[in-house]
Amino acid sequence: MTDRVSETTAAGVAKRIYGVMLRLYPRSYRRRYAQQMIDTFGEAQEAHLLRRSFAGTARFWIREAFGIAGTLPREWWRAVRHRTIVGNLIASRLFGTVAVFIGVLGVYVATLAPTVTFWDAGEFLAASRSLGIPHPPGTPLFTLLSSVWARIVPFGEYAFRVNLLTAVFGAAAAAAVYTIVSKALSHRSDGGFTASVTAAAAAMLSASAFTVWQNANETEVYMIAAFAVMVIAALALRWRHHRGTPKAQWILLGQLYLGALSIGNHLLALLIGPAVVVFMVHVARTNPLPALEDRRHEWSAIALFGSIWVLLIAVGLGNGTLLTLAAMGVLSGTALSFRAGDHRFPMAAAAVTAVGVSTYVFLYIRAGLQPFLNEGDPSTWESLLAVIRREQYPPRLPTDNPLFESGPMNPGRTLQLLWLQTLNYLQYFDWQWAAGVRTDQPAFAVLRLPFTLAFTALGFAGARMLHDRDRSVFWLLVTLFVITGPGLVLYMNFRPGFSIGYDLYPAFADHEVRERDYFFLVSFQVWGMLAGIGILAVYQRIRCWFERPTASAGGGRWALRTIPAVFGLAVVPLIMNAPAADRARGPTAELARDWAYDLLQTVEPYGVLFTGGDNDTFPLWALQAEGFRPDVTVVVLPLSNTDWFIRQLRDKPVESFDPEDAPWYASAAPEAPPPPVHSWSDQEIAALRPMALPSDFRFRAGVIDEVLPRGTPLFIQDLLALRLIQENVGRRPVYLSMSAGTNDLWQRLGDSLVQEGLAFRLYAREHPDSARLAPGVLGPPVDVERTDTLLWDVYRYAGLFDVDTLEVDPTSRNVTRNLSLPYLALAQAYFLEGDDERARLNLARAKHLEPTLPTPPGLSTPPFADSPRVTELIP
Amino acid sequence: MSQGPSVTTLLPLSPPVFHILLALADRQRHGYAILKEVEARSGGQVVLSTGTLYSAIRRLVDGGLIRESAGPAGERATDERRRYYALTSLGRRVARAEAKRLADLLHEAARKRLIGPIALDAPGRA
Repeated sequence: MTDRVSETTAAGVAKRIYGVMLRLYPRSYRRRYAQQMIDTFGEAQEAHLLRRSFAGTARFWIREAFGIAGTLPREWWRAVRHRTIVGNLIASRLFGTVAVFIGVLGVYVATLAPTVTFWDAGEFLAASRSLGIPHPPGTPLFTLLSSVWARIVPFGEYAFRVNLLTAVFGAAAAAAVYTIVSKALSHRSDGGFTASVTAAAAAMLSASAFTVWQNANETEVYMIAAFAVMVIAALALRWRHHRGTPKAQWILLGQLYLGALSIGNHLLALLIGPAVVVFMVHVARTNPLPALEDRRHEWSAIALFGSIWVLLIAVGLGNGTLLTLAAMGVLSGTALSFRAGDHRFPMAAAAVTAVGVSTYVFLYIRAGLQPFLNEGDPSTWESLLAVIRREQYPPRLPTDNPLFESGPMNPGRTLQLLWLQTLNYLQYFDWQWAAGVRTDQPAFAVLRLPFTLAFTALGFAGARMLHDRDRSVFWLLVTLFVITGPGLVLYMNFRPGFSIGYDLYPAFADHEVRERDYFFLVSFQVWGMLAGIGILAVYQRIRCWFERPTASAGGGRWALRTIPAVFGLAVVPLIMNAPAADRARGPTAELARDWAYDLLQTVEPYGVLFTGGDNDTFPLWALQAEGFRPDVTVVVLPLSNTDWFIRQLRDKPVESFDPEDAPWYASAAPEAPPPPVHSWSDQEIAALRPMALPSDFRFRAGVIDEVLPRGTPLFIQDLLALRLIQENVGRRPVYLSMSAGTNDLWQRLGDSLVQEGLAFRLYAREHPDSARLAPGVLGPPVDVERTDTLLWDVYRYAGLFDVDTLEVDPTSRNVTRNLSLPYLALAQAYFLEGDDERARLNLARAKHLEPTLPTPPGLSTPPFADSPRVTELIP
Repeated sequence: MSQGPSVTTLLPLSPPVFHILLALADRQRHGYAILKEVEARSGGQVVLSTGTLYSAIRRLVDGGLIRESAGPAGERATDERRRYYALTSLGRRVARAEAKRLADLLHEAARKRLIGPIALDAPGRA
């Protein structure tokens, strides 16, 4: 037994020595043959060891040494003759990785949003700028990273710098893709130039898939998650290379650390875990390590790795049951490791995982310091847990019908919904390869279909080739695709898509509020990788066809020279997606910032603005975090149902109005009102409950005297609104953003509302000057003078009047529709006054912003539209 | 019609190279199997070192005489790291031409009575 162990040790040492000797060969030669030579040497060495002859062993070593010495000159001569130093550099994987990084970064920077964009970007920017806390689960890693990065980068406005951070991570993800594909294709042979070109094609395809691209040129968390996914996958291949050595465990620790760290950015990154485990199991089963002891170490490490990963997912989801199961798994994995004699790996794994997830401590610390943005207020361990578990959002189980509340009364998911969800995923898949074609047809445009079919077929061809070349990586990528694509469709259980299924579910409220393609981003990256390998398969197939003996000599040679052109397929999505993915040009580039500017400028100094959330809120936060109009108190109606938001409103200090922000209000700007904006105590806030009024309730605030009848539903946000209105009469003007909509309560207050530009102002201290009012188009009258000033002298439009607004993306289209309505109101007001010239000018702008006017969908026809004169006014 | 490179330009082959081609003539083999086959067939007279073997393999692969292959189905699943090599049609033609060249030499040696009569095909009919 001892002899056997010492022989194994001696063989290992001999192989290591031989490996060192092989370093004398040129790098290109080593890349091709070093591993094979070491393996062959090892087998020959073992045969000699069995003979137990010292003389034989000595002869063996001499022969091997002479074998190397005798072939060195030839291999060096060949390397120098065929590859210069530059040639060697170009052939190296590092060069390819850097080249892909720079190339993809160039594409992303060329299409980078210059400023804040819609949806979560504004919120993340506000959090980054103020070291604050965005919506649960808080994304502390992103906040920290972006905050440090934006303070280091010396150029561009703050939003641009953070956008650039996303692009850098996107490009780094593409570089990791290059490494993975290049290694996979070189696994059983020398990959060479063809493998490098294929890997570059795969990286380009995965980077230019529409959703990937669109998430890489604005402030978002997804590219950092995608980067983590690809790096962890690349590390898995490196683990395979170093199996049986101490380095393998270091690599596993690195993967665990990255996974744990990624929780602080987005849970998407954790989805690589199961794929890595499948990969490792496949490698360990199909190519077991020679020594039993090494095999035991390896299997126990894999078991522990998998269990910790499940633990991470359980922590990320805040799922107690999963947490218990994972903890049991971790204990079992630890026991296995201890049994295999490996005490250090479990301890180190626990340590790096704990360090990785420790970014969440940031939330706890910062929340206590009350930053500008402090969603969920995780300043206690209980509220921190609530943030991590996303308790703020209604739960949704995979078995639920997403149109109804989760719980015993939920009717359950139906096959029809599942079909719509699958269709929704296919719709997003269809966008990835030629999104610039028929942007007006978001669902399955016929002209996009050839591109979709071509890249689908290439993906299958690539998967087949990978199956033959490197089956372990095949399973890695297929598992990753299934989990991040169809798996997420099943798990997320979305409502019917934003732009499909209206024949079955006509109500807008039954659909997702926006397109959700970004959730499936990693699956599109993976398909891009497979399609890139598929191009190689096509290339080889064509080459074989022309190389067959019956091919004509001249035509065959010509064809052989032109076949590499098939790799040009890799830039097709780059070209076809560019018009749709570009955020640097056109009106949408700066629309979110201008829209936020317009909304904030609608409000007089120290005003309170009620907003609907997301797009009429986040860009405003981003501007306020930069110091623009911080005097405006933004009250987000959906968040007003949470106790922490109401407390923060109360505790928010009054920020001074800067006359330079809005000179037109400067002369009439009042003194700063005293804090707080409301006076509810913590106990009163905690006691707030939604209710149906048990009896008639007379609401009085200044000149407002309204009876809310018995049975009127009042949500907490309504109670807060009533309180804010009441406590701020004569202290702060109150506005309701037009885009927030009006519920029962606000409709009852309708007699006190006046439209001023993009918002309704609530007149409580006094009645409005009726001389300034004209009938509005949305119910309340319009303040003609104020609205005219805002629309024509104050608001910014990001160049919307220079483009066809029908061609902008759906989110921007909603904004243009909102912007058109005050113009429509003005047009009507001037029309009724008989000022046809001004009516024409306003109607022209309204119609440009919303070409379906004067009868936009979803709105009743404005009274003046019935007039015969109106047709003459419409341009 | 393209005939590919002329086999005669590749001759004569060095002994290790010819041995490797012979080892691959009946089946695809991995590196260590080639070593063993060469040693066994030569009765221990030719023992290749690993360095000599792979330098030769590199030249043969680059020259299109052998190629990497997927390996026998059964063995492949058990040892994924192993690289197998197989003769290409060019390699087979070259090996045949070298064998014929050597056979011609043997006939010449026999004709000059340096060695005894041998039972090989007549020259020019290989």
